[in-house]
Amino acid sequence: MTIVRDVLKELFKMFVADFRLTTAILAAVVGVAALLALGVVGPMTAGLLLAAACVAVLAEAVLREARARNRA
Amino acid sequence: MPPDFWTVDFPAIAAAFLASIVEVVEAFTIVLAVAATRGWRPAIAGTAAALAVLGLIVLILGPALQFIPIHILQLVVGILLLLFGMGWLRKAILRAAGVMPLHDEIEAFAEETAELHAQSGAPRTLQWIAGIAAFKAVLLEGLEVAFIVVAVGAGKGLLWEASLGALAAYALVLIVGAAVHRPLSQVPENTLKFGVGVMLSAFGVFWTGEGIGVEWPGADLVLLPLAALFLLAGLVLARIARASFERGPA
Repeated sequence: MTIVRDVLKELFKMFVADFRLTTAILAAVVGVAALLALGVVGPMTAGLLLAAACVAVLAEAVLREARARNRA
Repeated sequence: MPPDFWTVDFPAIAAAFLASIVEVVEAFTIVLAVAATRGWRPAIAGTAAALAVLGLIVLILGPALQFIPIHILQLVVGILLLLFGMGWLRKAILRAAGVMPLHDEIEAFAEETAELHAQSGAPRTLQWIAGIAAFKAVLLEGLEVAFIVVAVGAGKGLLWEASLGALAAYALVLIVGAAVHRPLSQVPENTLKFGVGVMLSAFGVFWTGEGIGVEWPGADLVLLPLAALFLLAGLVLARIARASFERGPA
């Protein structure tokens, strides 16, 4: 049973290593999909927006962690 | 050679190969600790059993995904690749910046060896415990490899190619590891993790985009600028994070 629990824990960690990073990525995808579905942006702009949002989310996660470890 | 070999096939196989190197090196450290403490028999038995389970996961999950409509599959796989790839990239950037310590194989080997030595019981029980330790290490490290193989393989029907890339990495690490007979601490794990994180993030953005209806300029070719964007962002962020960390608390 320990192995099964460890496998489930590992699977969770694979996608939710940093909870805020995970939720921010999901929010970015949902946001871009909504803008595209509502016709606010075109199919090509949506792609650029998605890539830019992911880089911004990554930057926030890295700098937040660096600041947190700096304070620790 | 298919027309999109260099933009899709090659990065997918390379991602599976490089990610496997990272994970197998970590698993090999534990397997070696098991072999050094209790002999090669439990080490090999545990490794073989875990590889069989991982192979089964890929064999069942890979073909099963072909029954899911391509847009839904691309969206789900794309989002999972984004979560996984950006998680790896974040960690690799923080390690490259010196904010997080690098993974130390020598230390991991010493810890596992000490843990195995601390166990007590009949010789047969100790062999079982050692075998289970090897099984768990290979299975847990291999889960990430299995995910990458299934994810990059399912999106473009490259399951066998990605599996071969992963198997080649397993063979390479095991042969080199068996020859040198010590933890492979010289492997630039973080650089590999950085590269794989970049590739998987690019694949993730591309497939998520395809899944929600994005029209990429240049189709598959856009993977190259996407990878370049994540690489550049990663390098810049590592510099900024290092500078911020070295400055100390404000």
